[in-house]
Amino acid sequence: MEIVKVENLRKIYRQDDLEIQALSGINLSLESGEFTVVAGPSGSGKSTLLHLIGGLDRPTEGRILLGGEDITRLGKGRLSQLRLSKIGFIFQSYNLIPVLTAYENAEFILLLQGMPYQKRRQHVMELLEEVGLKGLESRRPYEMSGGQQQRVAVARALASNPDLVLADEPTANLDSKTGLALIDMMLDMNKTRGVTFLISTHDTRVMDKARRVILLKDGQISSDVRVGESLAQNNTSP
Amino acid sequence: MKLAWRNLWRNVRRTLITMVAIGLGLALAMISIGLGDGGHEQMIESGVRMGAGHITVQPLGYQKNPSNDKIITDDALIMEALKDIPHVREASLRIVGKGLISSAANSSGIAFRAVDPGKVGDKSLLAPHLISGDYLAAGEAGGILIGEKLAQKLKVSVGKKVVLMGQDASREVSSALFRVKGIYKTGVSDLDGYFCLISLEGARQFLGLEQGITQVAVYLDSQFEVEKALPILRSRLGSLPVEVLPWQEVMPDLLRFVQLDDAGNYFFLGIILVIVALGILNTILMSVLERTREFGMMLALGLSPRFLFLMIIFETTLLALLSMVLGGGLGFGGHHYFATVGLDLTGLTPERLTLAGTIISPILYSHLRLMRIVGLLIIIFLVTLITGLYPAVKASRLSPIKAIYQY
Repeated sequence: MEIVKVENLRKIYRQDDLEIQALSGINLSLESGEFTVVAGPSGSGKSTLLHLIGGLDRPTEGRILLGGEDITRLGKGRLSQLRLSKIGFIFQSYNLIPVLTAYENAEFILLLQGMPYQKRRQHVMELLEEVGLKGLESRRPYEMSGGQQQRVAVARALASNPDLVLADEPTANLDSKTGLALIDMMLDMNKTRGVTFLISTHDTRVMDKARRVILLKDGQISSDVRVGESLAQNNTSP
Repeated sequence: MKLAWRNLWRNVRRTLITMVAIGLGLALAMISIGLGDGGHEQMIESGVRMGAGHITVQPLGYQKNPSNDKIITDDALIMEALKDIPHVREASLRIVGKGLISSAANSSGIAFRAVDPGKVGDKSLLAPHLISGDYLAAGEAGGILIGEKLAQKLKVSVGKKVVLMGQDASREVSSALFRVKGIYKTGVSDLDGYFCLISLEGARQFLGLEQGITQVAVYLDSQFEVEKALPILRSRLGSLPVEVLPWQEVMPDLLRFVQLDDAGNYFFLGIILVIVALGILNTILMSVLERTREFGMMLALGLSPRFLFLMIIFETTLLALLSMVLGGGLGFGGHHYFATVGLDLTGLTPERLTLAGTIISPILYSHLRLMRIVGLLIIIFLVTLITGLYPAVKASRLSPIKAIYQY
C-alpha cells in the first residue's frame, strides 16, 4: 500500500534577493513497511525533503499525499494533529525534554493523545523494553548516554504507532558502533511492527543496512536503488 | 502541570531570585499599604476626636455659615434616634462658637467648645495634654481650659480669671466670667493658641440659653462604620432642621490630605508593580528563549501551539503563586511587627507632628484591611499573568523548523 506520494516537489528558500533551490521537482512514493534511506552530501536537500513530508514546512510547489491526503493544503492545527497521530520523528540531536525521565519522554505523545493511564503505562514500558532501556525508565536525559537517549527518541517516535517514522540523521552524533546498533534496532522495529521508516543520512554504513536508498544531489533524485538492484540500472538523473 | 512545575525549577537560582524579587515587592507593598492606612486611620481618629466626631449633627446650614444663634433644641430626640444604631460608641452634646477672651493683661479671639465633662470622648481630647491644673468637673459652670500659648498671651495661670465675650442666640453681645481650671499643650498651634473648653452649663450661662446645643458629635467604633450608620441616622432625623454630616464633610482639609497621601502611595505601589512585572518578564522570556529548540521539537511532535501557550501561562501562574506565598508571608510578618511594635519616627519628626490640623503620633502602627490585601494580590496575580502573555504568544507562534535548526 502506498503510504507517501510526492509529486513534483519544489522548495525554494529566499534570503533577501537570493533564491536557494533546495528541492527541484522531486517525485517518489513509499510503500507501507519500507525501510528507506535518503542519502546525499550536505545541502543536497535530504532534511528539507523529510521536513516537507513530515508537514513541518510547506513546499513552494508540488503535492505530498500522506495516506491519500494532500498535506500541503492542511492548516497548522490539522498538521499538528497529523504529526501527532501518523508521523513519528527522530532528530539528529537527541531532542528529548530534559526535565522529563526516559519514561515520561516516551509517554509525552500518548499524553497529548489522551490515552488512559493504565494503557499508556503498559504501552510505554513495553516500548522501552523493546528498545533495550528496561530499568532506565526513571533516568533523565543527562543521566543517559547519547545512544540511550536516541533509543528513547525511537521509543517516543513509535509510541503512537505511526504510519511513518522520519529520522533526520539519527546516527550523526553517535559513534559508529552505537549508530549501527541504533539502525539495527530500527530495522528490527520495521520488521516486527511493520512501521515505515524514512531515514536521511550521509553515513555509508547506514546506507548499507537500508533496503532502498534514494540518493539526492542538488535537490534532485540522482538515483533510487532497492536492495539487489544496481545503481547504474536505477540512475534517474537526467 | 508536571512539565510546567519542572520547567520552573530548571534554573533554580533564577527562579528563586525572581520569586524573592516578586515576593519582596509584594511584602513592601503590603507593609507600605499597612503603614499608610494605619497612619491615615490614626490621623482620622485624632481629627475626629479633636473635631466633631465621626458623624456630626448640627443646625441646618451651620457647615456653610456657622453662627452662635443657630441652635438645636431637639437634642433629646437626636439622642433617642442614636439609640440602637450599630457601632455608635458615644454621642456628645456640644455648644460651639467664637468669641473674645480677655484677661487683665490682654485679649484674644478664640473658638470655644462646651461639653459635658463626664463624656469620655471629649475628655480624651485635652485631658492627656494638661500641663497644669485639672480637667473640667461635672456640675462646675465657671471653669475653662485654655492652651499654653493663649495662657502666655493672656498672661494667666491656673486659678486666674478671664472673661469670655460673644454673640448670644438673640445676636446680642453677652459675656461671662470664667476661672482657668487647666492649661494644656497639644502641639497643635490652633488648639494651643485659639481654643478653649468649657462646660455645657457654663456656655448656657454665657450665651443666655435655657436649653439647646449647637452640635452632637457621634463617635463610632471605627471610621469604617460611618457608611453604615450615616444613612440610618439621616433617615431617622429627616424631619428635624438639622444636617447630618460625615467627618469627610466636616473636615475636608483632612480628607484632601489623606487622598493626596493615598495618591502618593498608589504611585509608589505602581513602581513596585512595574519592578515585579519586569522581573517576571525577564525570567519567563529568558526561560522561553533558552528552550526555543525544545519548543520547536515539541511542536514538531504534534504539540498544539495552544497547549504550548497554556503551558507557559501555567508556568507563569505557578511562579506568581509561589512568589505570592513567599511575599505574603514576609508582608504579614512585617505588618505584624509594625502593628504591634509600630514604626517609631520620633527621631525624624518634631516633638509634636501636626498635619491638616490634627495631632499625628510619631509612632505609626500598621493596619491591613482584608479587602486591600485581596485587591493587591489580585493585581499582582494579573500583572504576572499579563507579563507572561508575551513570552507565551512568542513561543506558540514558533515555526518548528526554525526553532529546531536555528537555535
